[in-house]
Amino acid sequence: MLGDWAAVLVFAVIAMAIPLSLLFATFALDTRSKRRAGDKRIPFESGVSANEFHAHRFTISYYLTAMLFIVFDIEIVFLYPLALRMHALGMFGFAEMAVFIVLLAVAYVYVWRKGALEWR
Amino acid sequence: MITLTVTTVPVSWSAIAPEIVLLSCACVLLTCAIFLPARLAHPVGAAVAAGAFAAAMVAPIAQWHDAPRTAFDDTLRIDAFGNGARLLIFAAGLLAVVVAWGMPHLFDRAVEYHALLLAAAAGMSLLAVSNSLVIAFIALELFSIALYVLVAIDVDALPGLEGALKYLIVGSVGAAFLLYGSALVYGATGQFEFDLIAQSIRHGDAHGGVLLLGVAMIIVGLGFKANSAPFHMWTPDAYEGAPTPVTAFMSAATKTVALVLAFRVLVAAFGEDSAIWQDAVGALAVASFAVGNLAALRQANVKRMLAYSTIGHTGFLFTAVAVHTQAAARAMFYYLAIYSLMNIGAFALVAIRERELGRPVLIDDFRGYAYRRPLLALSMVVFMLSLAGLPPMGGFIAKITIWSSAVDGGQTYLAIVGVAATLVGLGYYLKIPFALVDRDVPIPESPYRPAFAVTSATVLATAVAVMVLGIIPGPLLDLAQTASASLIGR
Amino acid sequence: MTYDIVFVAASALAIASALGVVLSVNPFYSALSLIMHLVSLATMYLLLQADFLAAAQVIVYAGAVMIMFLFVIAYLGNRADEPTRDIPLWQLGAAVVAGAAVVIEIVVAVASQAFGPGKTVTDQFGNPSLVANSFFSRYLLGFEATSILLLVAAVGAVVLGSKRPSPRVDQPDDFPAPRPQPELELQAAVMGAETAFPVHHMPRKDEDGG
Repeated sequence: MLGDWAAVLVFAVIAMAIPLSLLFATFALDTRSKRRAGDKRIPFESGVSANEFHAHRFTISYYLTAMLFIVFDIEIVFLYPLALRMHALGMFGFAEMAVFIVLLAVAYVYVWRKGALEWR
Repeated sequence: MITLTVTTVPVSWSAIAPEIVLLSCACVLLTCAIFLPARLAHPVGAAVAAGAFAAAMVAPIAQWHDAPRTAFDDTLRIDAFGNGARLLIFAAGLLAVVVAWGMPHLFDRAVEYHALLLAAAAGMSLLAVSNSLVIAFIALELFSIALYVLVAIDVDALPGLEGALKYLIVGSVGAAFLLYGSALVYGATGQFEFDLIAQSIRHGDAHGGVLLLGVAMIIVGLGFKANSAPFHMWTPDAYEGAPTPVTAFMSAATKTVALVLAFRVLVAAFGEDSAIWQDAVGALAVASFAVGNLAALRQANVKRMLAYSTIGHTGFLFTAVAVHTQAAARAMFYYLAIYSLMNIGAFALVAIRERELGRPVLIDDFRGYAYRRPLLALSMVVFMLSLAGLPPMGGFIAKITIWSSAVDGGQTYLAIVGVAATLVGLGYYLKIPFALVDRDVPIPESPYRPAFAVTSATVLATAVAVMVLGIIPGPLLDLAQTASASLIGR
Repeated sequence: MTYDIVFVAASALAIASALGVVLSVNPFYSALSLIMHLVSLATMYLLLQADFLAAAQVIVYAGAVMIMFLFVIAYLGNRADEPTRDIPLWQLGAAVVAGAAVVIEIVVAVASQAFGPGKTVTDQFGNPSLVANSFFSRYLLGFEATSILLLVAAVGAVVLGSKRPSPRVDQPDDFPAPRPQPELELQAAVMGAETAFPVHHMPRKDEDGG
């Protein structure tokens, strides 16, 4: 049972290993001088200084989009198991799924009409 | 490939008819009414919402005398107890629609206001008849989320945003307690349905310690929703910041549904083990008496004062829960009905005064009001006397029935604390009647705007109802008797 | 044996990352610890054979919800940790006492009675098909009510998150998105080259957080 998930573990280990190895290699193989001062401290020391890192605020649109993403993401998670049992259930399952999707559509129509999907 | 046969649950349309009506109307508003121009949106929204609330009342009234039955595989229990709560909720919703009529802030949010009001009422209605911790939690979240948004529906008003934020954060903590408690109860008994939990406890299958923890957390979660001290911190800010029609709805309907759920879950699921929760609920009642009444004494803002007063009223309602006899259930039902009427009436009057002044209403703003609007002032006197519990108003009978059930149920100390709290309560409730007839203080001149006929009529009607139900309490007590008998056989 | 190792590792990670959420000063690190915590919890769900729940946990919480957390932290910018700066000492003390009381209560209550053998379940327990079956039987109503809940959440997000259409549509946002300003960048580059000071310390008058 748990053995089925060993593949996920292997996947996770490899997925972790790639960025970690890159991070490690950057420091292990770096040939820059060890003295860090002035422009040496910034990631790209040649060319124009990257001066645009300010702790500025994101616009509210990010929040709104993320919130709507969560809502619809949860709906998908709920639909997945239903889809598996669709054939076994026939009309009952179809009706249940239809109600679910109609309610989803109501949310969609409202969100669309209110312009919440526009980037502002 | 799993080849399991699935037995689908029989769908009982009559059990969820009110929710279907309310939610279909909410969906129609959200998909169709938002295409209307702004000047039509409010009339259409109000008409649809009022029609939905009226139509939703049909099923509970038609099923009133039916024997209790379960539906949807034991997850709902349709009985007069739940149906009575549903009727109170829908009446509160109807009054909230009426009170909001003509409210200037709602002009471009009218569709959302009415749709969210319908959704909140549907959630509460489902909660009132739920017989399962799962359904109860989802329904609770449904109405809570709708209310968080309703409190801040006027997004330009900072007090509303502040109130909504506090309500959201504290309310989420309460919901988390309820959820954790439900999970622990499930862990201890293996069941979510109230009657099956009781059965498991009776058979001795349950793990006592885990069950105790679960019940404690459920009580804490319910305490948050019923604005009981010490979980009341959100109440004054949310009540003060919310648009007044929303405050009226929240104070009446949320309280009703929280108390009905508390009574149902504690009696139906943990009734055998009442020793483990009775004193805890009694302690919450005492704390609510103390905090609500003492803090209300110092308030100058009328909405804030009424908010603290609702905390004090939670003390009386939790007294009934702690006693949990049939007489207590009957008293609680009568109390909830009267409480909803007088609170909505008082808040509607505050809404009228708010519109006259164009700013939050202080107690001093009622000085000399009796000489300008005698009928409204008289209604305010009725509400305050009833909230204070003086005869011949409904609030008097409500308190008397609670006290007598407490004495009969062996919880005399709660009745004694309740009497003390009532005496303290006179100190702030009577401020307003005295202010109304105050001739000596120069009346701050406020622009005299045309009265809002619909809201004024509501105020007068609720005032008359509070008085009539106080003088002739029989019929309402009979209804409360039917409701309580459907939950407790004793 | 494998079971025990995975359990101990997952619980240790869960506790460590939960501490990380609470103790990190930088809210971004808290959010990253929270992801770690959610993944450890998902591992525990797997140990309990709740496969579908574990997958949903990773997709919804570690995916969608965390993205929103990060956006909110970024939205609040450098003021995100402000509320935690000056908490009165008595509140900290009271919080610790209350937390300790809850922990003691839990320990006492759980230790009061031995646990039974627990329930045995089939191999297929927790797999999506069985979850679906409960949606069709006992929890049909809960399933549909969840969809209503999500509808209300979407409406609420739009009501609170979007500006009202009128009459304030012409007013600028309270927190404007930074627009590229070529003159300033050029000036900064020149100054940076001349003075060799890190130019990102230069204040800009329209971004003082207010």
